[in-house]
Amino acid sequence: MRAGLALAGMMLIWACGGDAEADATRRSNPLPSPVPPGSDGPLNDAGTSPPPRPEPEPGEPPPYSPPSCPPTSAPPPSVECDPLAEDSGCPSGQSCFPFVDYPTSPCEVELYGARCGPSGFGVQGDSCADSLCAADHICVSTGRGTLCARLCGLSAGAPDVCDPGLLCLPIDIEGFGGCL
Amino acid sequence: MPVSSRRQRTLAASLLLGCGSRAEPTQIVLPPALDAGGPRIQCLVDEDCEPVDACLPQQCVEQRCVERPIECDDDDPCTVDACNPATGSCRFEPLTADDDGDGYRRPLPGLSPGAPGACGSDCNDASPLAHPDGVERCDGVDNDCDGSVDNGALFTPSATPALVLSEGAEQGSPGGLTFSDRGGSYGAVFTQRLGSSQNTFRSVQPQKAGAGPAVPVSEVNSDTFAGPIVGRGAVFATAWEDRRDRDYEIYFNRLNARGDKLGPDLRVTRAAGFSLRPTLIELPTATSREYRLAWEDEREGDAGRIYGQSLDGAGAPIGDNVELTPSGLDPSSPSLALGTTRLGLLFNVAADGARALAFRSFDFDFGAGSDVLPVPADSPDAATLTANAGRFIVAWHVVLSDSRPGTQIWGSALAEDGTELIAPRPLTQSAPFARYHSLVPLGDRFMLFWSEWRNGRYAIFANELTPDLEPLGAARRITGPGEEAYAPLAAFGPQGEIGVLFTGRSGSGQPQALFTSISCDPGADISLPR
Repeated sequence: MRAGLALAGMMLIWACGGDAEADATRRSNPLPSPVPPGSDGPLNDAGTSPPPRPEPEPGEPPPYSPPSCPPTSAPPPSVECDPLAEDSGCPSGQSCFPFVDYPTSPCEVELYGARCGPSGFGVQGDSCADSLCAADHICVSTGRGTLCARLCGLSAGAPDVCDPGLLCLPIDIEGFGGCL
Repeated sequence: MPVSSRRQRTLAASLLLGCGSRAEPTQIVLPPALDAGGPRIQCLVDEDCEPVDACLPQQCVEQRCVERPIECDDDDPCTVDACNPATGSCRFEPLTADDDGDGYRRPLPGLSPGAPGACGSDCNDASPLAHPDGVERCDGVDNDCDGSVDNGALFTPSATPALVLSEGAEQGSPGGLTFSDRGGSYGAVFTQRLGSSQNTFRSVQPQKAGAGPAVPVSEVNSDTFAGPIVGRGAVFATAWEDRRDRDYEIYFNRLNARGDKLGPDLRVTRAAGFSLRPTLIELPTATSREYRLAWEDEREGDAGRIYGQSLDGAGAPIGDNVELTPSGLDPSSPSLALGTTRLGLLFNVAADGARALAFRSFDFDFGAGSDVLPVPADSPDAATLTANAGRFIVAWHVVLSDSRPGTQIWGSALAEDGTELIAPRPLTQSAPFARYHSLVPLGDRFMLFWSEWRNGRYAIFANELTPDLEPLGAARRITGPGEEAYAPLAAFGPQGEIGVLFTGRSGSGQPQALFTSISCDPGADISLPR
């Protein structure tokens, strides 16, 4: 079951321009280690009392040991401008958009960044299937088609720019979200 | 079958001996067939014939060996009748399985338990506690197979804090939730951001007693996004999207209750364009299980189609990707549901510059597709299809013109052929905003979970509704006042507990994947052991 279909599926459709190849530099793929006991606050920590893993069932298929990618370091983002700043630093007629260049093989990583590019007129909720989004907006694939969404920051301390009722939901660009 | 020349010689000797025992033979005339070059006489008695298959014994008829197949038929349509070729004995194997060992077999696919010709009366062959002679109790299953789960019980929110499953990550968001009756733990998949987006599995103990280690579902360095997870036995199955091969593709794998993979990732799609938002169901067959998977696919351009794939119980594809929608609809967000007689597929479509819902049904093999039927819904989003008591429940939230969510969760009910049974109506009371929901079918009712805006943030609520979409009581808040919570995904756990995976955050913290639960509280209608 999966109700929040739009949540995990917000994919950047167009992010202004470039199509640079992903850096093949590799990066680690760390997993969270159990959190030590004693954490408090309104949200309980799942790692405070980790139970033993269930024993295999008789007749259960044997687990498979998948090959894994060697540890890889994330390449530094390619930042030409600041998509969330009032003055993005882009030339007149252009706006700053975050972008992601996809890897070309399973062990490669994404290259994230921000660069200047032409902007359109699409604002919150407008279709961007055939047109560009305005500055401060980004074109994402949602459960209702490809739409412009107000760009928001997901890093700690980022201002809440989404209208009430909207959420700054993760998109597939490091550090950025869309108001959806 | 012709006899060999050696056999002919043996036959000849026997014949001479036999004839010699008769009274007064005056002349012995050897059959000319005993000459390999003469007429084709194969036998004189049955024993002369040498069947190679004990199920095809031969008789000697007019000097020829004639097969007389053993007919195995016990006149029971619920058995597979077969002859053992080694022994010639008949075997009568039940047509349907009894996986849970409770002495009751599951019905044939497409038939209700106990229906004429169903060959089984077990309404839940994954639980030995559910069968026609069972006694209803608070355990999340229909123990007595009366069509209702935990009849009359009330569900009480847990007072203990939610578990953080994506602790240590920059962000987390839910993908899917199920429960292993055999493993005794929930299986939760979620996306956590740790430098990259990682599709991650954790087992979660009932009553929020703890969670197992985080296990990567997709062991690649590129971003991967969690999707649905199904299965309540020893094996889970999950599907997701990732871009390990530059483009978003759909992948599938099976996991055990600890999250260990049972095979290499199966790349389901190999076409140009994004393949996104998989929806997955487990399909019980007469004796095993299969899977049905659907997703939105842009291989034919931006206004793509919904495609589907059948997979066997071992996770191997059955045939190729199949088109589930015609071209030109710009479909997205498919939701599959397994009805009693049909597969239901709900999806979001373009309609006159806006968005709408459409429904199509199929046989269990994605064949015999019905017409695409419109489902009345005004600007819907995050719509789901859930099978309950022989009908499909459709639920969605509304998106307003300024892209903010509407004030209520909406729903309608369809027959399995798509005929509207209950017209669209609000399922929740009005709130400033309401969005994202999850349904748990209970037979005579269903449990609805959703998030709505209260005091400047979202919280998750639950309520029970009848199959006719009438609320059975007042909504209950299941998440704490100090945290924002939205996007619930619910699944039955043990002892009537319902687990809820959701996105939440405390204060100004980042959104994380969390888990909470509500417990079954036996009502006055039934006497339930505690």
